Amino acid sequence: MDVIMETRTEGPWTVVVVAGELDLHTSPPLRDHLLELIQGGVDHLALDLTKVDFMDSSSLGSLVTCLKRIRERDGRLVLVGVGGTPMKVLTLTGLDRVFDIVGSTAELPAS
Amino acid sequence: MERLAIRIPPGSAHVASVRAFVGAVGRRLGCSEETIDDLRLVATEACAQAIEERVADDGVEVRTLSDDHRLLLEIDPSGSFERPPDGLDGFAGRSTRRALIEGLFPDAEFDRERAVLRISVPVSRS
Repeated sequence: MDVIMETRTEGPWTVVVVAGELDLHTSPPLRDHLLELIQGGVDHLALDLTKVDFMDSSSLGSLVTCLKRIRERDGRLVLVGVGGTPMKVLTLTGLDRVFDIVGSTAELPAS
Repeated sequence: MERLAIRIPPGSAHVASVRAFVGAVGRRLGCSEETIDDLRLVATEACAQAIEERVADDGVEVRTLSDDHRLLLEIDPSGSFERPPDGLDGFAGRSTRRALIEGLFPDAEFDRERAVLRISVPVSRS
């Protein structure tokens, strides 16, 4: 089972919408896509997880890698629409305090 | 006691099948959606750990044993272990996977010799 990724622009933000389940198998392609965007100069990156109903700790590793990389470039990575198991995993690991999390793309900061 | 099992090859692409299996069993037994989500998560973490550590040369067998009161979930990596799996053996570094499993199921048992993880939850089958 693969994840579906769609990338669009909303104001200053590059929004990557993900659908599916993120695990050991499916998170590396997402990580590679995000790193490619960051490498390409994207510094306002929003990851919309509204349609992600499962996420394991392998996926956390991928997200932390991307967060670290974009912060090295003074950029921002915001998680959008996190709920269910993904939110539980973030909370249990304390990473909900590390990532910026908003409910929807409408809540993304203007700059 | 009712016993069901699924065996997957030692590849990350197959872990989703374990989640589907565990979810189906949990729903049929009347477990809450939260419990089912937690079981799917720990099954994924345990399978992923076995695959990452390459201790499951012959794959991973996931078994469920249930009666009217409890569901027992066992995750059993199969293979000839050249070294003890890190797993939940109490000596390895406190990995994120381990923290998640123990955080969700503090009573989780890890059989060091066989590297089998066991988790038991109540069910409400009518």
